[in-house]
Amino acid sequence: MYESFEVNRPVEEVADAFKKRADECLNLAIGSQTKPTFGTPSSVHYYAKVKPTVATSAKRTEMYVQILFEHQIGVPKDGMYYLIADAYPSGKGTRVDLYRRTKMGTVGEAIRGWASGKNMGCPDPGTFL
Amino acid sequence: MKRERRLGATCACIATVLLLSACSGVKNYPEQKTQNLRIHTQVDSVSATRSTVAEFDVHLVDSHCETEYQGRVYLDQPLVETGIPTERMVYLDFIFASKTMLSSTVSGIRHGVLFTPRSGYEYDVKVSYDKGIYDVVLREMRDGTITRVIPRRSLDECRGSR
Repeated sequence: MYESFEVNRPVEEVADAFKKRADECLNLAIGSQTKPTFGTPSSVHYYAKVKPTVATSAKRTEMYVQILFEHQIGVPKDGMYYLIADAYPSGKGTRVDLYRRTKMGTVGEAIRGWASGKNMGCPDPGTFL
Repeated sequence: MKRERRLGATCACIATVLLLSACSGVKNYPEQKTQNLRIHTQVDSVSATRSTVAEFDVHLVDSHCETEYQGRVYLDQPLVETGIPTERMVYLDFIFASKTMLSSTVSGIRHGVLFTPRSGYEYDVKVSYDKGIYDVVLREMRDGTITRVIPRRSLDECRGSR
């Protein structure tokens, strides 16, 4: 899925927001735990790892989100690419091009918020994993 | 005889409920004399079939980053006021728990903030969950003025810095 939007902020500010929020919101492991009514809960079984990467140059910022599920083979080291965001100067602001899997809708929404600076919240992993 | 049996069943049910709540390990955070923590909550679920609730656990933290659980605060009102100890480390572990209708699985997100509240200051938290986007913003205030925004800090970061 492809979407593109512009924000009224310089690309450097968008890059800073991507770096800060991507690490806080998307650098995570997903696990499950069984909690019986009586007795001790099971240990957490982690079955997926999400890894964001933000690369910046003077005039461009790229963000990749990879997800690696357990038992996957034949995929890149940190998992398949689920979302790519390219931010670059456009007029007085920044244009962001988003390429994402359909399921990554909330991550796309969160990136819009980070880029504009209007909503710095994190996407709920339960909505995209 | 019938009545006695019914009474016995009622007692058993109550005992079961008490036992369940005792075994879950979660207890209500007790009322505090000083109300220095104000939490504004806005939770909107993703869809009609998926409901989300917000709550947080209060832990005291020692110099070795070991925690002592104090209890849970349920954020079921737009504004909840409580108190946290000052001049010692506390860990506020915010939880967003979501459940889809007809599913037994509960998914949870945790957002931890480790910090040392100062006496004479108030702490204001905005907790939000809207269309799958969540946020927790904790601000320190004095006389109605924001003095700092407390960043997210996990216990792992605390342990790593020792």
